Amino acid sequence: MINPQRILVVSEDVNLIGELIGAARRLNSEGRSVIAAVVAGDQSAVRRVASFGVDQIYQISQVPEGHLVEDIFLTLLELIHQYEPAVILIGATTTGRLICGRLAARLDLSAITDVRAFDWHKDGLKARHMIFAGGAERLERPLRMPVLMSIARGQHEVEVVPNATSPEVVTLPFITPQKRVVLLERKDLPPVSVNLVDAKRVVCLGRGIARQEDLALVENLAKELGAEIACTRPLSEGLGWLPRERYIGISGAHIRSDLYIGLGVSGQVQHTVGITDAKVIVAVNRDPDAPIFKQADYGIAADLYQVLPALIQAIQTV
Amino acid sequence: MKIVVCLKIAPDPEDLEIGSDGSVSTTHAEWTIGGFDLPALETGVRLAEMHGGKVIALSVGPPDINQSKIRKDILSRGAEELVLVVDESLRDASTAETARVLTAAIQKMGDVQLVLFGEGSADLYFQQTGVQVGERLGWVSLNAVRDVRLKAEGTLQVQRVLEQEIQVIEVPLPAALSVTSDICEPRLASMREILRASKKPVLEWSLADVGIESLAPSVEILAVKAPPRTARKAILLDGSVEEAVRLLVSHLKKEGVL
Repeated sequence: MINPQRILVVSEDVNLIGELIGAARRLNSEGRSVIAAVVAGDQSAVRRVASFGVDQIYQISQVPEGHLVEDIFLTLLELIHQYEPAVILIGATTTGRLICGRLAARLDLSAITDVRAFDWHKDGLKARHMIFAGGAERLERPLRMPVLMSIARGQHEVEVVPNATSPEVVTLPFITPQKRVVLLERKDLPPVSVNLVDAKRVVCLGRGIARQEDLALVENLAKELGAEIACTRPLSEGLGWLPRERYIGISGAHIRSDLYIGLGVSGQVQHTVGITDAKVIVAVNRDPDAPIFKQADYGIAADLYQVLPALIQAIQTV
Repeated sequence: MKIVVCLKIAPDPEDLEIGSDGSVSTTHAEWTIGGFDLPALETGVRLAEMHGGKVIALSVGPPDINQSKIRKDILSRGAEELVLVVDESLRDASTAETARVLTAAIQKMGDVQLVLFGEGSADLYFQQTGVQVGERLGWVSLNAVRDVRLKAEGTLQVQRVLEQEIQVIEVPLPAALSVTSDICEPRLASMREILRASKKPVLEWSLADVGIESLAPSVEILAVKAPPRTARKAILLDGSVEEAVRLLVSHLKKEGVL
């Protein structure tokens, strides 16, 4: 098969559906595929997805009270059996991962999750997934149909097609799974106030910071620089000194800032995978053999408690 | 309550050797329990300590997973028994194969009420196996679980963390749950537990033992390479702290990033 006949995109998040349609268009370079989107939502969601220029929309208008949105997987499975898509693209959110795994189990295949790049070749689809905490990339070819992949947010453009022709909209009845959990309560998490991805400058803390009180020192530097404060995983998940959205690494943020200053960061691959796209990397670490120095543009092998005040002063006089 | 905790034993990502041509080797890497899996083990052990029951640790993989150091490590952290399903064909197994073998092993154990997983394996991190096993068993399965409490006989109440919300969910047993890495802090084994570990049973099963004749791959691995890295200057600034800082600021000004 040179070109997939039918591509199905699935996400609980309407904007992510837009991105997945962008990804589906890349797979449909020859323009012979039909792209269909599954929308779990009301008419306004359907209208929004229609504006992305999709061929067909399958609408699951209501997930019954007490159900998780992931319970649509059985409805999806039925659709997959009838529609026989060659490729299914799922948004790589927590919900997407659960839907993906449930479908993969029922279809007896392996989903390739958090796909970073993919291409359709004459012998099938090849996709890249990071392994070993970002230390390596694996190129894989799924051997079973359909191809099931998940794609994270922010990798493909949402394209609103002006005067998009109205897609065919088919309403799917919700199929209740036999075994299910009961959603008792849901609470919104406070909105994320940090945006590391778009920060121009980032000051990042590692295990070299001895005490939580010392964060104040770092805040001074960040203020002088107009930088966002970030950290390595142990500082947020182990010690809880900083919120999870401030940590950089394989399962955290991947930054693209002009300047990254690592303070007491040793440079383990789990972390540095998140800073490869930074323009200039500065490292301060007491240990001259810390791996971060090899991956930095400028390094100072000294105690960060001596470097910090000197650096703040030097920047103030710039 | 009979609890199974699934652990991925794999080469330590820290020990990866990257060649100048971008090749990746795990030949000299030490095999260890995945870091994301230890909080799952701790969660299972705490539930068993609180409500009675027993934790069986389960891992599947190539013969490399059966090492005395790893066995001791697992059994000194509170598991009462370790089951390993070993076969060479599991070396590069993808999630469908791994989930199929784990499911068969859990079915063979019988009478299991809860299966716990970490948020992902330390080597592949597809975050899929736990969810797949639950579904293959015909049980409810959830990911991103941050808190597990036994509410009544046969019912758990869990907290699940999504990108923008927290859910409180009632889960009927049996169930398969993948827990977040911050659900709890894994314990350090005491000397007493380390000594006790060597007396605990370890079972090694073959694929045939769990009723699987052969394991057809669902995915072909075409290449494993180091991701492209940005070339860095790697200039170490010498001299006193003041001197080094002065040099740094002048470099950064030249780069146009201040």
